[in-house]
Amino acid sequence: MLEIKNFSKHYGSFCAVNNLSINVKDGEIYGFIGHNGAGKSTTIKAVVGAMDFDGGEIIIDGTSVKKEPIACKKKIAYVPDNPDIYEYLTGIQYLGFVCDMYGVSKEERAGRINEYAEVFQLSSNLGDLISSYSHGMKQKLVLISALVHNPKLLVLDEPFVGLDPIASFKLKELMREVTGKGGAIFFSTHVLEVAEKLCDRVGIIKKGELAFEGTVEEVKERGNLESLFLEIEGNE
Amino acid sequence: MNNFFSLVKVQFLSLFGINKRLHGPKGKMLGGAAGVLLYAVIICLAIGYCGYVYAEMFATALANEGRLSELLPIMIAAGALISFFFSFFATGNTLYGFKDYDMLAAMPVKTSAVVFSKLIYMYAADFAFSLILMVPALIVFTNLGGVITGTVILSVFIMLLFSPLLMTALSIIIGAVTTVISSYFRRKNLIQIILLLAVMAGWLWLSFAMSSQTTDITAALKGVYFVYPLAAAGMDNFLYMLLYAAVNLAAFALVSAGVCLTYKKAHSVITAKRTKKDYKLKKDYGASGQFSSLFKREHSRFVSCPMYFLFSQRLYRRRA
Repeated sequence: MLEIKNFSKHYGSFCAVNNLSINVKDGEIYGFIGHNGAGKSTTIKAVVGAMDFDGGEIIIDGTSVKKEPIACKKKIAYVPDNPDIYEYLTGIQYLGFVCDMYGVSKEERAGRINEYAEVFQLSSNLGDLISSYSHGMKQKLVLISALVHNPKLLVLDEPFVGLDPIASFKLKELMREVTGKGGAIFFSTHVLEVAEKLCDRVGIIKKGELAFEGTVEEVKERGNLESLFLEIEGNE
Repeated sequence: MNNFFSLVKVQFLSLFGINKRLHGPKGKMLGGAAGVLLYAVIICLAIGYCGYVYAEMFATALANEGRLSELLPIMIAAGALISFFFSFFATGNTLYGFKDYDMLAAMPVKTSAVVFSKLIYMYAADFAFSLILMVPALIVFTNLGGVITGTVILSVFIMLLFSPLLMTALSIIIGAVTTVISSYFRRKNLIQIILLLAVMAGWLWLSFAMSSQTTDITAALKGVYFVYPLAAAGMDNFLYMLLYAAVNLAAFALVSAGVCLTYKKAHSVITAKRTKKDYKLKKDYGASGQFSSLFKREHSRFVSCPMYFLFSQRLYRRRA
């Protein structure tokens, strides 16, 4: 579903990501972990087409992000780490806007918006301005907007930040549902316990390079994800 | 195309806080549709009053010289120059570095559509401003004996429609270049403030130069036509009107195309965040009292953002 091949990104002379290769298969949840400034957000922004990159290739469901960006973006849903969305819109106006962007029909959007709004317990707040939402409510709204157009690939940048325990639980269920239908999920998180329970495979990025990649079982052979991460960070 | 109109619609809902007033908490002052209408009327009256005063000042001097017909192009020039000023600042906040860029860039819509929706928004705001300025100018023109013919109406309409285009294009070029250049500096906001002061200094010089020449209207007009030469040919020439429209449209189209083509690279440069990582821990960090600490914080904020600097300056001057 997602193939990152020899991806590199420079900011002037500074190399943010160097020769990164990752493969996320259909039906897989891939956890992308790294310290602050390691290159996670740079990689994610390149995958969703929000940033140009210098070297390598990114292929989504057989389509190149560089050659056919619009076709790729139709298959993706992106949830950024900081939900800076239109504060002057109401929740339902924002969802309507996203549905317009992705071409979700009138008949389909009503059902999906209602379903996901109930799941995340945001129904009664959809008529309120987004500026009145808490951080967690904004995060829920962005998650609903990501799911409402049935994406094949979910790209999530720290999706659990700000979510209450019920919403976190529901999100995990939905993630398994997406992959159960053949979709894939590529997400970054600092909450290692969640990554260990949820992911099929994890990749640890350090200073722009992939320091470890393997299944959760391979991680457990080396202790747990936290001890592995600390071991990798400790090695200079 | 549907995506483009959705983008433009979302942009316009932010204008003057319209959507916030329509959907804000019930019972809030100036809330609801009636509140939005009242709010819009107040803003129009305020801008219109300023336009009336300015138009009358020029009209009296022009009428004394028998050149009242030049009032309308001068007012269009004034509107265009003010549009330039505000578009220059809008470029940094509206066009580049806007907070929702990542979200929009990840959606299945072309970058050019996103950028163009922002440009249309900037143009529409400038057009609305110029329109509000022109209505009192027409009233003043009529009061002093000017005749509103079909040609005058058509000319005013064409000039109003197209005049914001060139100014928006110029302000985008200058704003984009300064935004990109300042992004290479650590104190990028200070660079933008310095440029803002340079633009304001130029504006003040022009105002003083014109006001010192009010006894000689010919010299004052020369100043206006020097800054905005398109207003010089007057409004009777239909071919000139076509040329006027073409020049403005071509400038806007070229600049729009240039911005769309270079947008991703420019945005990547402007928003790149890097830390120097060269700080050395100290043994003594000093201490301040509460008041001086709060003052230092306000001072840092004062120079942190060009718009904050601009509006704080206005408050200081008003108090003085």
